[in-house]
Amino acid sequence: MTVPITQDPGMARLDGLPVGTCGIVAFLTARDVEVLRLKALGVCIGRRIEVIRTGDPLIVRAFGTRIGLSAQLARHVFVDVCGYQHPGATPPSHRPESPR
Amino acid sequence: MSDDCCPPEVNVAATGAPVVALVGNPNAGKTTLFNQLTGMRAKTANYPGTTVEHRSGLAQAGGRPVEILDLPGLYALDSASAEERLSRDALTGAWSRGDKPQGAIVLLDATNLERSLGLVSQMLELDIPIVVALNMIDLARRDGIRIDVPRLATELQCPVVPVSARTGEGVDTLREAIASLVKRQVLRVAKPAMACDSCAACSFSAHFDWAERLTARVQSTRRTTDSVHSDKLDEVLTHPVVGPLAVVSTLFGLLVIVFWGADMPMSIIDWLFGRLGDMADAGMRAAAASVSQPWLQSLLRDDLRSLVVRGLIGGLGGVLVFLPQIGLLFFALALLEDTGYLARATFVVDRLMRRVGLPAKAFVPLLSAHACAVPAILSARTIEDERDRFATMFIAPLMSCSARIPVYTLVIGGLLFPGHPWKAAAAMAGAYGLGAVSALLGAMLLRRTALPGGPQPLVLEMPRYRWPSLRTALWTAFDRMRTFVQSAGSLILIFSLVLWALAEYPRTEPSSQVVALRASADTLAARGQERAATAAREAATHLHDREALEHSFAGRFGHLIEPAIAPLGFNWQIGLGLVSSLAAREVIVSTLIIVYGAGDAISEDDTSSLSDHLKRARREDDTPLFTLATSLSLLIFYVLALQCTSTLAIMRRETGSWKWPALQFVTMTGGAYLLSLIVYQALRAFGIA
Ligand SMILES: Nc1nc2c(ncn2[C@@H]2O[C@H](COP(=O)(O)OP(=O)(O)OP(=O)(O)O)[C@@H](O)[C@H]2O)c(=O)[nH]1
Ligand SMILES: [Mg+2]
Repeated sequence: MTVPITQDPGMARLDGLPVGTCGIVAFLTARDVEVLRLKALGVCIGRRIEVIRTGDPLIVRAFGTRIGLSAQLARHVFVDVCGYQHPGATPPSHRPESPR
Repeated sequence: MSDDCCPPEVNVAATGAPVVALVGNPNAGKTTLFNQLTGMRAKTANYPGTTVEHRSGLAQAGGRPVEILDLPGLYALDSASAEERLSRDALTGAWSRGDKPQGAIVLLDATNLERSLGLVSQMLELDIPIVVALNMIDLARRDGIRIDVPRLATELQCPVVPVSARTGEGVDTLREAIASLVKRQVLRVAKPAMACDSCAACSFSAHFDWAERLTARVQSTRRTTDSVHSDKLDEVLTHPVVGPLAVVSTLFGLLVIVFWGADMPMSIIDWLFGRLGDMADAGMRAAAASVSQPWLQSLLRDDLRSLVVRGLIGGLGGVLVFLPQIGLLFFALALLEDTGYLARATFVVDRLMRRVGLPAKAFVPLLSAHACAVPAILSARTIEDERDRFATMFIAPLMSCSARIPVYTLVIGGLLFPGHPWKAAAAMAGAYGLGAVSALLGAMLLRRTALPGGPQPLVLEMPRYRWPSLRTALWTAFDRMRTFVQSAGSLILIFSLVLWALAEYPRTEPSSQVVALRASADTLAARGQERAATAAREAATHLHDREALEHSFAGRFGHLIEPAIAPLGFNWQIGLGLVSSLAAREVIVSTLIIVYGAGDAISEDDTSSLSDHLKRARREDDTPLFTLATSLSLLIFYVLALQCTSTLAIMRRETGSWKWPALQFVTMTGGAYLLSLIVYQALRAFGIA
């Protein structure tokens, strides 16, 4: 799966984001099997995720649960950063619009 | 422990009862509910991917039997791993039994409704009638999550039953719903209308969005389900420094509990069997004295007495003494698993595991291999990548399983460091460490040769922490102990009896030396020198026993293989133990009891335990047999060698060829031979015999 590199300033690689960042998954460049696994767990294009712990492996919250994720894989996840939160704060009551 | 690992599967395929499958995310509580419905006790744990095979059982629903099919959990219907595929195939009818189930119970986790509904929306697209069981309702209530059940039922257009699989709440209502499901009263298979936010981007996205919107409609507290507790605990337990420390101390704690906690019950069992042996011995002597027929008298006094005291009671007691350790190990492991901690430990060990070429998900299989390699090899199915899975299965038997505990305890506690608990504990940790380190080295080697490439990166859901269920842990421990007793009661007993017979027959006439000794004893007695006479008589008996054993079938076979194992410091008696270990490792303990029990006259006041017997054992040249070098060499051999036929059989099944088990057997047993050889010869060369 190859995706052109975008110049979008809000776009960032998941493995470089600080704790508390939320973002909408914009695209995934990992291999097919790995993408499938990520997608099934909710790390899927158009879905919101939040960084809970950085490092390797790191932890994100997606679709209501925590998911441990190797940084090797997080490198292939690009997100549209949409805000920061205090760790542990309750998430906002509405999700930002998903991109078309 | 050979086949105590897999509880027998109930085959109900032939009953013709309607089949209903249990479907849900990993860790949703399917197996717990299955156990509630069928009254069975399949393994449950707070770790995604506990069930790796399907299992079926009969449940009563509305007065008729229904076959319930417990499946491995799945996140989505087209996921990647082997056990998820198995579930999907069972649902679509693309599996060995060939037809689709008549219905499905879709299990939702009420504390995580969004994710559960994501799967439901996919299930609705399959042409199978469903009822929805809203599980973990007890936890949801506690957390203040309120779910509008009637509304959810309307939205999904199928029955929704709130249940708690753990407490049994709502299960009877569910049975009724299942009954009407198989009577085809639930006909709806309408597809959910999914407004498409981002369909173009990702096929799952639509399902997820739908699930999220539905959740917002039926759940009043739209809070993320993660409790604050879980977050706080994770903060500590997945910390880069504290996390690894926690893993190490957990493993250490597990060992301590098993060895210290089992100490007292073990001495009690040991003592009981000692008394039992003495009583049987005395009883049979008395019985022999009271009968008049000479043939019956000799039968009771010699053959039968030896069979009962040495063969039966000795063999059984030598193995049953390890029951407390096995029970405790499984109990502690089950408790730990049920808290949800193991998913965190997996996360923490990821980097270390990756360095040796293993995926982090190998951690739990390798941990459970410390109980038994067979379930460990099965649980490796949660590893998606085939090479990763093979590497994990290959090295799993190097972990010290509970069948080795008897041997370790005997060699370390009885022969190497009797009376030095701290030294013994360190040596025990060393034995476990040797197994684990060689497993990791083996993995590294494998990834450079037969299974090249690096492991797949980690993706793992981390479940909420939960209070472990004491009942589950007790049942698990009880179950393992029961199967252990059963195998001790059958396999080990049979082996003990066969070995006893092989060691006892054919009977030999006393040699001239023995005859001479006896004659001199008689002369001494006639002269009134009673003490000297008794000594001479004992020497004669001892010599005769030794000769008898040497000429017995067992002795001849042992002699046959002795040249091959002599360089490791093993004599033919130990060789016999090695061979009998192929049935189950711990059989060597009862073998040694029988072999050395027979070489040692059991006198009436002799209540000494096996290790005392063994420490008195001597080689042909009358030097002590179990020196430091021999004992250490024996220990190393048992740490590393692959002596378990059930492991080989399960490897054959899981890899689909004899190539892997054969390679495994040759490399592990060969490695064991080499290291034992080196250690024994080195110790001898330095004069530490
Ligand atoms: N409090 C509570 N705990 C539950 C309930 N149902 C299941 N559990 C616990 O949830 C955990 C997972 O249960 P399992 O039955 O092993 O889950 P599973 O769906 O079979 O999981 P996999 O086999 O891994 O797919 C265990 O720790 C259970 O004790 C429930 O209704 N209430
Ligand atoms: Mg299960």
